[in-house]
Amino acid sequence: MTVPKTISTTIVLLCFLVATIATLGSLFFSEIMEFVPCSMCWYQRIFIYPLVLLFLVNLLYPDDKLFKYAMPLVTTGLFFSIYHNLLMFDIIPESIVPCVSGVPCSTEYINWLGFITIPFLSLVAYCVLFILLIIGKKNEK
Amino acid sequence: MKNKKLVLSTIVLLIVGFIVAVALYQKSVDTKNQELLASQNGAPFTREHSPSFGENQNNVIITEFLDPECESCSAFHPTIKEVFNDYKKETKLVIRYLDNHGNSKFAVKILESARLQNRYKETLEVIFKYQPLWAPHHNPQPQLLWTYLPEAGLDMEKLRADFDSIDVDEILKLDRQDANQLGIRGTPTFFINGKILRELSHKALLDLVESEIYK
Repeated sequence: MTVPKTISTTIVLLCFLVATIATLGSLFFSEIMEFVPCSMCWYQRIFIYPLVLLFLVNLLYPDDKLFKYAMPLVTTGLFFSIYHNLLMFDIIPESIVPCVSGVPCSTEYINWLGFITIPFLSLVAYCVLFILLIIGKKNEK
Repeated sequence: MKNKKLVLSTIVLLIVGFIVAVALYQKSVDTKNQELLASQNGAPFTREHSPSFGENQNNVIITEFLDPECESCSAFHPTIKEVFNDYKKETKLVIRYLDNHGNSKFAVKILESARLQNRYKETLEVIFKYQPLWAPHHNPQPQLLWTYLPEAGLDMEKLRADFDSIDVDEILKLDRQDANQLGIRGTPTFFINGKILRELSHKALLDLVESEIYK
């Protein structure tokens, strides 16, 4: 009988931190600074919020299934995020995107150092999660 | 259950960090708005055209962004009235508009026409009192207002004449522009000497007003 392999606590904790900071950060932008989230932002939120609880439960009750559950959410969110960033950098024209909440998805609420926008922060978070999960999976013990 | 201490301390740290960030941000907004208020002779909190009340002996400006068709404005109206009546010597209440509903402009035109007869407050009372009747969401009937307005002690003939000739577009535009500059979208929104009221309650309003009067 083989013992089930699990992703190391450190990796899961880092994932939990990234997902939670992304969640709190997005809530800070919308609820405290009162930026209206565009529809693209909503899709990325949808896939990051549940990750907080997935990683949390896995920290408390480690099992060998985390990768299976977390990766689909991370990759889906990552695709939305890549798409959104292509919009922000004018690589895809805005007209293709349906923006229902009345805020164009190419609206720039913040711009730090000339390239750090909110969608960029989202992309960084999803990329870090993606890489962490791959590393975690490869080094399962 | 594993990693209990680790998880607990991480969560506490994150929540504390979030609360500190919120507090710092809110303080920086207040500071920025107070500097704005001091530097531009009252704008964007008050404007020449805006209806204002009170003697303002203590130099405390209460700015209310209001929409006559907004239910929360109507619900909060008794509260601001009570607080302002207690401190009308010390403060100045300035009304700004945010016409967020379909018939807001209609009601603003009535208010501004009534203002020409010095019946602003009375008219606002009537508009709010009958709001459920003239402004239900499914079937708003602003014309109904005409039947209630005599209660405000208005010269109805003059009111109708002024209503037809008055132009509130510029006022609404400037008020909205100021609201955008202050980053607000909803009504009612209150600023007391540039400090935004973050909780719509009697106690929060009274505390903020008194803290500005007795500082």
